[in-house]
Amino acid sequence: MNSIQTRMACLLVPDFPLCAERRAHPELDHSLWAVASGAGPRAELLAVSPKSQEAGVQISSTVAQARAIAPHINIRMASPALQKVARQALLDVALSVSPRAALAPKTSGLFRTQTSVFVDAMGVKSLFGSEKAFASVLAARAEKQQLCGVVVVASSRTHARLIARQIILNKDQRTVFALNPEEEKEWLAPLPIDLLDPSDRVSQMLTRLGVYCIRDLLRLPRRALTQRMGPEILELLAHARGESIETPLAECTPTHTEEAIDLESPIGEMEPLKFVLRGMISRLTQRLALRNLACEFIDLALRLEDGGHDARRIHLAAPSLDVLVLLRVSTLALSDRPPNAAIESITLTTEGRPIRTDQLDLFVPNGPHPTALDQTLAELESLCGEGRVGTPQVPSDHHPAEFTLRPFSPPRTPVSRNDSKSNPLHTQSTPRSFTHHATETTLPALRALRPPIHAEVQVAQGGPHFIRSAIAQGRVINVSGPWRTTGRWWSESERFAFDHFDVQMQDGIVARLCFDWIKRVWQIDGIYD
Amino acid sequence: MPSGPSHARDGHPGKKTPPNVSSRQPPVQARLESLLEELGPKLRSGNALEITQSNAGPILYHSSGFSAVDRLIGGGFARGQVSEVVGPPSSGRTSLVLSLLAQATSVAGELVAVVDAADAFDPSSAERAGIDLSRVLWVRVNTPQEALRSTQRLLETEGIPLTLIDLDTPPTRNSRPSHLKPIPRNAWIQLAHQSTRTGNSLVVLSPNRQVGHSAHLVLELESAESRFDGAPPLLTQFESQATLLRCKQASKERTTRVLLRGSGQPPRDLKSP
Repeated sequence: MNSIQTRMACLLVPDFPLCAERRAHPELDHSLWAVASGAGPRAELLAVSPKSQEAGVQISSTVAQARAIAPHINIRMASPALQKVARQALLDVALSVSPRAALAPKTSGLFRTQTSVFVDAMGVKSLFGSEKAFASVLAARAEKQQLCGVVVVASSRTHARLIARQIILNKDQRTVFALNPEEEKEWLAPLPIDLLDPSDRVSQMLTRLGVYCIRDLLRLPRRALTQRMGPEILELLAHARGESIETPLAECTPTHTEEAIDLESPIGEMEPLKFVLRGMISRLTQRLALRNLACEFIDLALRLEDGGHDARRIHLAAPSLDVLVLLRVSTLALSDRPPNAAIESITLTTEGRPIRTDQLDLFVPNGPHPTALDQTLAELESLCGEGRVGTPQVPSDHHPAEFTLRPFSPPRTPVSRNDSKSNPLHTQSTPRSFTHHATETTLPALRALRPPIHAEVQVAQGGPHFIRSAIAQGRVINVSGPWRTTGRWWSESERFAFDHFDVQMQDGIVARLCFDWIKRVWQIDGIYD
Repeated sequence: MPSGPSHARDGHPGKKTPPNVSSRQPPVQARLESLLEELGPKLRSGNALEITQSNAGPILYHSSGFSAVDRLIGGGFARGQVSEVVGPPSSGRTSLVLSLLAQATSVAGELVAVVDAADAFDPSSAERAGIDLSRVLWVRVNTPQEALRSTQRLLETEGIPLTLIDLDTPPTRNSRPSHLKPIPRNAWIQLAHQSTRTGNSLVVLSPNRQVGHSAHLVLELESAESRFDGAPPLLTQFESQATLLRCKQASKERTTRVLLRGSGQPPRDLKSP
């Protein structure tokens, strides 16, 4: 019986603290800089930029030593927040090529600055053509996120990671490598034992025995090794033989996407804050785009200088990936209700929403592409304010000025010809002769006045006789009404009672005049036009 | 130097026309007439070409819903152009543009956008005018500058072929509409270019001309007559006169009349006290 050959890819990022910092501060690339484990001159350098390495600064040296070699070196303290979001970004990159992916647990010791993610690479040939092409895509996407690393495809996670470590150790130029299962033993045999990341005790004992590479280790008798070195060597042997038990990767669906930054100095003004937010939103949207998702809201959490916290949710009219729209909405929210103190750290969190797709119809005019429409709606709402963009709806209500706005979602159904017949425009569509001119008929439309304009009205014979207002004034020459509307009598604050009149003024304006029985005022709430 | 027949005009120097051929063939006029007779009505009326074009070609106009107005402005509101409808209050401008929107949404099934700087769009009235509200994107802007930016964005959006911008901001007791900074002239030029490029039409509704020379069409409406008839009296008739101030495809007729008629019944949901 043929067993299914598993294929696993490992994306290994060697200088992860460096990558995490560079992802948030791409401007650092042009200077000498390094990442230290803490503050002070004795702190150890975790990662060093290529330019600093050229200048002679080495990893694991202290800050004081680095400054002695390069006095102008920029030392940045390792940021847990940046590393956390960079790890999530690495997972997003992996999930963009396969639904089954998992981050490797954090390691200590020799490989503590490395971070790797494992991706299920079974069946990728049919999608990408070859495993190497698959690895190239993965590496390119990681590089776009400033997470440059090495991708190796092998038959197990351990082997893929071992070979990736070897490539980095040898400073090999290749960034992608797909290893055939038949060649794996040959490849693994000469690899140094240190790549298996043994504990210090086991490492020392193996060195005393003169065991330096995997080939040497596998030649030794298993029982004797276990008796001398304890059960820990069994795990090491299993890794070396490729016999370690690896549970299959589960399908991973992150519930939220987060970007965070700890600021070097507190920000109290909008302009520098916008600069920081723009970068964060850009990184957030890039990550969402990797998984073909869009942002519908942003949870903005701020840690303030006075020790306080500020949290708010910013909604968008429709899912969008437009950085400018998201930035405008965020800055508008912050301008409307500024935080109480300067900001020390920012966290943006969102839940990705699927980008809408469209199915074209033969019988309906092509509408806007859903993504383009969503972007337009989001931008319009950020411009005009929340609740001011949408489709009007007339509710089943007696209030003459009542309407609602619901999210714009145009129907994808053809226009019914029966509907168009019932259109009042078509009920009297026969042109009528009107002296020498062709004429047609329709209903006069009303222009609403929001809010209604106050009017001073002289009443004679039970109706308005003279009106003075900002929009119309003069003698009333024709009047129709009153038409009474009442409603919501059960609520003291919402009840209404209006007497409406259609009035024609001396100057030709035909308006809808209203007497509000609750407020006892005359108003003009519409103009027939 | 070879001596060729320099008088030959047909490019065949050796070939000479026999002198008696012209006398054998019918004269040119007679030949043309016989050809026209042969081709028949196809050439005389141009029907075939017209029908082919109307079937195959794109629709170039948005119908206003008033055939008289459509005739006046050369077929309808041109697509991919900026049109302007101006006039004082109660002149029938809003009825005309709502009719235009009704034709676009309910007859053609297209999406439309209303950029409402005046906040005057009345959904009930629009529904009564026959507009399919589900195909209307209502943008309630606060200032003319917001209206401009919203319009720019909408013109860029493919699939919304008609945008109405309403700039007739009503006056209030303490302020006149003039307190709002108007849209600058160069912005209209930009909008006209955008409209031409994207093929999306823009209709501007305002009390007076704003677009200037960038407008493909300017239609002015004036109130002619309003009638209150019946017992109790109702607003039954509303007549406007439309004058074409500017149009690149102007017809000879420069003025027409539009008759708007009320239902002759009290408005729905309203009752006499």
